[in-house]
Amino acid sequence: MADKKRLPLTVPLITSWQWHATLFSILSDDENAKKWIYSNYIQLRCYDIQEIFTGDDMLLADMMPGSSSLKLCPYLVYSLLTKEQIESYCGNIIDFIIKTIDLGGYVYGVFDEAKILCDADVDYKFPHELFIYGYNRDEEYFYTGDFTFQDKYSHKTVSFSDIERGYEVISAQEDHMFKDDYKGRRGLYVIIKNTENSVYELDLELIKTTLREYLNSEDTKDHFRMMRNRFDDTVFGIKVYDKVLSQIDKQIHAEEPDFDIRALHVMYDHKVLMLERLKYLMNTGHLKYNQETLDAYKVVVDNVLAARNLLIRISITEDISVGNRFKDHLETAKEKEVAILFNVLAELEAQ
Amino acid sequence: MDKDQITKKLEEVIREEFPDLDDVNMNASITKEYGVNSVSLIRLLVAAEEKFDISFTDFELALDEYESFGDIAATIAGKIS
Repeated sequence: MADKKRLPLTVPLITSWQWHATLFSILSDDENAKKWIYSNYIQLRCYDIQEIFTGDDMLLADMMPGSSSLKLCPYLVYSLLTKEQIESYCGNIIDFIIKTIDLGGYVYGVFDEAKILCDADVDYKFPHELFIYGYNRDEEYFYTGDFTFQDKYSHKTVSFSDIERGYEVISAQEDHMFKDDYKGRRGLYVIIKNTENSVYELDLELIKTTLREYLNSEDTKDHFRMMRNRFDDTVFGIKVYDKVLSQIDKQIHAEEPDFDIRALHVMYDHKVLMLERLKYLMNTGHLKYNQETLDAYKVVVDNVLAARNLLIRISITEDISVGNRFKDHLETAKEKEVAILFNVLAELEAQ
Repeated sequence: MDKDQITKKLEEVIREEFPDLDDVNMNASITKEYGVNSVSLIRLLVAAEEKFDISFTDFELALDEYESFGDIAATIAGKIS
């Protein structure tokens, strides 16, 4: 075993959820992976759920294939290992992670981050997904990535002992990743980059179909029932703008206002990725190069970002009188996005 | 208010918002050198609004608008000139 090792990382193009930050940390710069990335992540959906940690209502928005992206992406090899397998193969979690990294595998799973972030023992848990991409045996720490460290996606070293404690205290019931995958037990995922060969070509048919479904806000939950089938109140496509707008209105006018920016951040990442997709399709000759289209779509990105930042501003100042500007930003973005993407769809369909 | 006065006043706001900073280099990268993120930037801009009696538009709250604290000083200068 080496003394230290860090697997390659790229700056993730999008970070809104840990599964996206993880996939894009591994694949953002890879030309083969871009074929899969730009063929997917077009449909948006949102639904109401209860927050895992607090039980509060929250609107969960995501781009499809959502949290299933890590296991569905052909440019990753994604394996699930149960706690029993890990202990049987390696004896302990530390050796398992080191051996996995030596074999080129990133480790991903739920840890109690209260144990990782707090020096003293605390009487509560904060189960959250952690991405581990390297180790240093001399200094006895792992290289990790997460949102919890700095209120944004960032990297941090975490000691072997904190990783061990953070892993051991999470029960099967608290392992929400395994739970969401209907596994009902405790374990970790191993992710290996699989980009050497081009195994998935850019799928123009899928892009056209999902663009149409996105623009028409078609209820496409039946496409995804193989992944998860518990939600019936899902809103899809362009209508996500309206749902998010009404959610913000409800949040900021509540007796105890809530300033949850996550749905807006997902929408922003969706627009960032769509702009990159348009550039990619133009650069690869699938769309005619058109700077006006790119500039116009940048206005969409900027308006959604302005809406997200406005919510952060309100959370700081608690001045909700400026709340009417959400409507302006989101309606401008929606109107422009619909017009641009209908033109893009028409151009793709004419080929 | 001239450029030096704006810089000095902004530095006071920066020190209030980031009390752990030893030095404030107006030309250093705010993300790489000082770990500024979207939320901490908006806190700083909101504090600067009060200090300079100006207002930033929602579009000017974006992190990628500013490479350094000097860029923020330049935007403020444009608002009070």
